[in-house]
Amino acid sequence: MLACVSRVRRETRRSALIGAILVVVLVGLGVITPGDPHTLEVDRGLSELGLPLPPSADSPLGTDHLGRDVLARIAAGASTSLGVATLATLLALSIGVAVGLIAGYAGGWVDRVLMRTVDLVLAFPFLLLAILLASLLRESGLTTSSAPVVLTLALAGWTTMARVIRTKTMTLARSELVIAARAIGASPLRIVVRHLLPNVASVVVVVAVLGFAQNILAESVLSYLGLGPPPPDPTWGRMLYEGRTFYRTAPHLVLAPGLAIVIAVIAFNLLAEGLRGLVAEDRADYR
Amino acid sequence: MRIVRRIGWSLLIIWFVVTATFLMVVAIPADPAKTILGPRATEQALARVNEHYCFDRSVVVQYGCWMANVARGDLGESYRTRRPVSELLGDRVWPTLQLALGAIMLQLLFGVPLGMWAARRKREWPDRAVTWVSLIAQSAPPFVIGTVLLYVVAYRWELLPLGGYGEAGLDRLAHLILPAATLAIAGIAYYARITRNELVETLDQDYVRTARAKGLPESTVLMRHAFRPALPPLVTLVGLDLGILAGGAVVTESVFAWPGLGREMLQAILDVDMPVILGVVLVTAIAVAVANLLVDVVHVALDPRLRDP
Repeated sequence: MLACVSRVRRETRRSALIGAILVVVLVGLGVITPGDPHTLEVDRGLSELGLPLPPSADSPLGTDHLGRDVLARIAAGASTSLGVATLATLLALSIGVAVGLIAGYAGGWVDRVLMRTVDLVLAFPFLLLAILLASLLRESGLTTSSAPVVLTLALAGWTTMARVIRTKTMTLARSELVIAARAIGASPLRIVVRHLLPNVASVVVVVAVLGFAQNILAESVLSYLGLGPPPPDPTWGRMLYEGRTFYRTAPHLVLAPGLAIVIAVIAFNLLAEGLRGLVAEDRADYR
Repeated sequence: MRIVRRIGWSLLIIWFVVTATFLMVVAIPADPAKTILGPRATEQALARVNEHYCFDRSVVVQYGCWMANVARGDLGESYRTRRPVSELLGDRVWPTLQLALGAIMLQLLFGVPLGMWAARRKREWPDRAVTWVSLIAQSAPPFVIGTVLLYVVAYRWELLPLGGYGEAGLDRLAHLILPAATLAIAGIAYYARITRNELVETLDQDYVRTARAKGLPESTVLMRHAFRPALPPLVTLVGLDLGILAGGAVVTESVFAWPGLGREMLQAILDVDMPVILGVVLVTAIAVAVANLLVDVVHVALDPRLRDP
């Protein structure tokens, strides 16, 4: 039994570690951005027939149909993706945490109204909501920024966070900790902010990292459909969409961005899984 | 009584989804009259079209107009192609349904046995392999899976067609496999995980030990004793998938040029073709509601405790 527990611990630690390393690599790639993702190298970057070049010593991941370096574009795509996902996750988190805490602590009709709202938003098929919002915000003249994508992802993503945090808050709201705080006359606001929030923090972290993975995935889908962050900033989804027509002659144009998306999402999923294990372990130690 | 309340809530959700969609589409600053007539239309023609479709009236009037027509069974006609929406939906529903059913069948056919295998050999290599593969499968967006399958299976190995709908019969089946597999891969992973976790719990229970002690063969213990409690969560999953997939798979249908509801909806939104958007959304919302109700019914059939005393 003991051996089994320590093995589970080792596994969760390992997945957290692998996830963390991959995340650091991705962030590093996004910050350093080796090479130039924008310049068209029509002379050097294309074959004599005007086709994309396969991977070589000059450009480790080859070039795209306009002769641009794919590695440089993947790196620039990392910074776009991570930036959008960070903003969207923070926005979704602030809505989700607020709604979850209020619904979980207040209970009664407040809880019912808030959770019914969550049900209604969840009843909307995610892609329908995303495509509608993205095209609505885009047509409203916000074309030059990533704001529409961020808003879309946040508005679609806060619901699951709110649900998880509400459940956690509900159990906490009945604990001695809250009863004691109420007994010494703490205001509801103080109880929520000073007593409940720190205690749900570990759950919030796990939910945030999971949401981050979902946001990267969803951003890539929106980009693939032409509703992502606008050019000239490269995104992995759009790179794959543009490379798709060349998949017979230049499969690296599909494989490179495809792998980038999968690795990035795996990284955050692993990190979330590891963190969840560590949180559970933490709690087990107190028992 | 409970069933009445459930149906009422479902109707409310359908109404909400359709109305919210209407409001969002109305807010898109587009000129639907121009969509209908093209960019070089004359002022008079534009004015006539605006009057005909009540674009020049208030949002409330447009909404009331549409709702009244729907109540009469008339979904209007597409701005772009002038085809009646009900006819268009009729064309698109069947392909989407085939894709949805194909994907769900693959998920059950592969996901459940994989989950059982992982549960039987908990913490050995099959369990770990299933965990890792499902992590990867759930982290890949459908267009990545679809494009890779297209490249490897259809282009490199030339085993299956490169996309499209095909003729009815065996040809259809050949065209269906890749898009259905694309939709199913993440689902297979998820079903395997759920099945595994449920089974791991029940395999530790006393009644399973009793069944084994009676000398029942392992396959009987697994299928008739341990697997039954895992059924309700699986039914819930199938219901959720049915509801979501029956509304069309936007990305997968685009990758494989499959003429379903999802592609129709994407095109309609990009064209701001209101009647088509609302028609597709109505079908989607009804599909989700019906699937959820079906799940409830099956749950009651599976679990006697849920039946009214």
